[in-house]
Amino acid sequence: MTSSAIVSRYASALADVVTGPSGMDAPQALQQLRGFEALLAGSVDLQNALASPAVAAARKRAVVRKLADQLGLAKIARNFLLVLTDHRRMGALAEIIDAFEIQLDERLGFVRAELHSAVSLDDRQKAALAEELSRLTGKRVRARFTVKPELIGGAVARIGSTVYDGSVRGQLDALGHKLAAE
Amino acid sequence: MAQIRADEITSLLRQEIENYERAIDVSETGSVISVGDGIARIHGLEKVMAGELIQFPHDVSGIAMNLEEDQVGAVLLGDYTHIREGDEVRRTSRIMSVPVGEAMVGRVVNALGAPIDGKGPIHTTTFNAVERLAPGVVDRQPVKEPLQTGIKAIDSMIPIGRGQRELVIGDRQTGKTALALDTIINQKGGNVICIYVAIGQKRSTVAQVVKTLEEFGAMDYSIVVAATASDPAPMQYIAPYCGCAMGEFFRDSARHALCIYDDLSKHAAAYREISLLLRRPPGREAFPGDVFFLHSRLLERAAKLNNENGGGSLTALPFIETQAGDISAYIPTNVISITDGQIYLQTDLFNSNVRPAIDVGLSVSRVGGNAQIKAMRQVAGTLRLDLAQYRNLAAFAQFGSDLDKASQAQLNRGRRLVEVLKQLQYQPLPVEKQVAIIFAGTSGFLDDLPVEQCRKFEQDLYSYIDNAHPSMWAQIREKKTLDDALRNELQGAVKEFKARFIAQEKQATTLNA
Repeated sequence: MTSSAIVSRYASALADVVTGPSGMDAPQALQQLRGFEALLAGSVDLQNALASPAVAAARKRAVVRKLADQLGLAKIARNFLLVLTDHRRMGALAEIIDAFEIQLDERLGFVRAELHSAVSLDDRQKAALAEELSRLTGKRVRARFTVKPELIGGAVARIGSTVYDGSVRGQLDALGHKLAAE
Repeated sequence: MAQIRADEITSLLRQEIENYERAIDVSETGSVISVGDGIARIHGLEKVMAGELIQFPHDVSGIAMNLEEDQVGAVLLGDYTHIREGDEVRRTSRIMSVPVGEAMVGRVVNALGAPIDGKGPIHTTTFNAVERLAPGVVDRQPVKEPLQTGIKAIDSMIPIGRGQRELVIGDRQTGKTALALDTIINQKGGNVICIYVAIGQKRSTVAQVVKTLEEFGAMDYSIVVAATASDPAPMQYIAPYCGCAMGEFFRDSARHALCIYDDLSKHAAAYREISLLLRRPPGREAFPGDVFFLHSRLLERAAKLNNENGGGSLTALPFIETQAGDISAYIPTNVISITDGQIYLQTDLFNSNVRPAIDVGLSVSRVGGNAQIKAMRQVAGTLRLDLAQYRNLAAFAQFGSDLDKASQAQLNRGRRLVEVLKQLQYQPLPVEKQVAIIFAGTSGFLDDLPVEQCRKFEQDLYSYIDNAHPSMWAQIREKKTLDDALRNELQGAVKEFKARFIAQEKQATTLNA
């Protein structure tokens, strides 16, 4: 089994629980898990303790439980971390959270868009672009903006594997192809 | 490339600028994870469909072959050395197609349909998908028109009909390609378009084939599709489908086409290469599980359409090269079971100077007599049987035992029939001449001639009838059957000629002595 398969399985199970009937506020869950991830990343000792087979499972569980209480994690988040500890998948936590975030977006009708523009945009332009993309995809768009001067002018939006290319660079490339083909 | 004038560029640019607002290019993209051995693994392209054409940078295209959970496996067509990890690829929403039509005739093209004969671009606007479904059951009719190969042994005993699939199988150097060339040359003046697909052959061999076809004026109605040994495996893999697509154009426009796949063993090997690189599980002889379907879907496209569909036909002559005469290997048995018969060429026969080296015992045509003109059926009816009995007896007679008179006669007849069926390369015979000589052989006119004179007899017989009975060829050709009058005339002519021939030979021997 590939690691990506493992990651997506844990992520979708977590998303099921979070968005389920006894669920919790999704952004909150995400934030809490990110908090634990930051803690884990910051402490090599904790990483070792949770990864080491020499530490008994019960003690690992106790550590995670204590940390969760201190961080004030919700029940679902705490249980999820305990499951990961039991299954010795704590190493994949960061990836699982990333996948979980994507899963959540999908379920809540969000799509992620990367928007590259030639010049930096003001808020009004950003909103207009996001609006237009929402209209195109029929979903709410969560956009990330970057500036790429090599586009010369216009903007390129990438949603998943679909690319909407309205840049001058793209036009010039297309023109170049057309001329070369003739 | 034609020279572009500066003002043309300006006007083009102006148009582009004017239309700028409208042009937002929407595409689905992915990125190359890894590339190598003619295979690319791609991330993204979530909606790509199996068999879809994918556009890579540097004008290379590929075909999506493996759709996996988080990546797409694609084969690359063309020069893939410039493609790098991380390159952006695009969906095209098209499946692979090749140019087809009249303009292709007389040309040598590669597996993508691009000309490689240096005779300039091909002007055709018609394209056919490379992978198409075979015509259905109701669109077909039984094979009934003969496709004359011009080879006596085949046309008399293993007749091939239009729309049939006849396998040509044999070791290397047994005359498989020669048989193909003879068949193509024999279509001269007819209405059959010939497509020769060379798969995994040496470029020199392909050049030789093209040269031969040109010499005999056969390129005027032929297309050569070449995916040579130096072309990447994906090109060799699609080449037969590409040739078939070109043939289908003629089939579907109520004409006749003949497609020769030389050879499908190398095609299977190319497909095995692709499959293993794509990490599909290997099976017997390391071929993938769908190697049977690989050939069956290709050969199923050969068909004789019914009259509502124009009555066109596509005949397939797949070739298989065996190793040391082993026809029970994996690919040979597969293709034998797909086709409507096989022509088996044998090294032993070839070396003992029986050429074409057709093993009459192992060769069959399951469409058989329907694909023969009646006259041929009449004269060749006993030929197979005679030869079979001859072979049995010949094996027996090798022990030097005394034979009764009937057996002696059978041996005699057999030896002469074998002699009569020999034929030189590039000399296909029209069916009426075949009828005449086979008539002479099976009616026993050759039995008292020395074996070594049989072939001279044959040649002289043709020229004698040309001169003395010039209308006979046309009669056989048009009536297509030997009625009593014609049979008597033919018998008379052969008898008359034989008397002359014997006298002439006697004179020659006395002169020499």
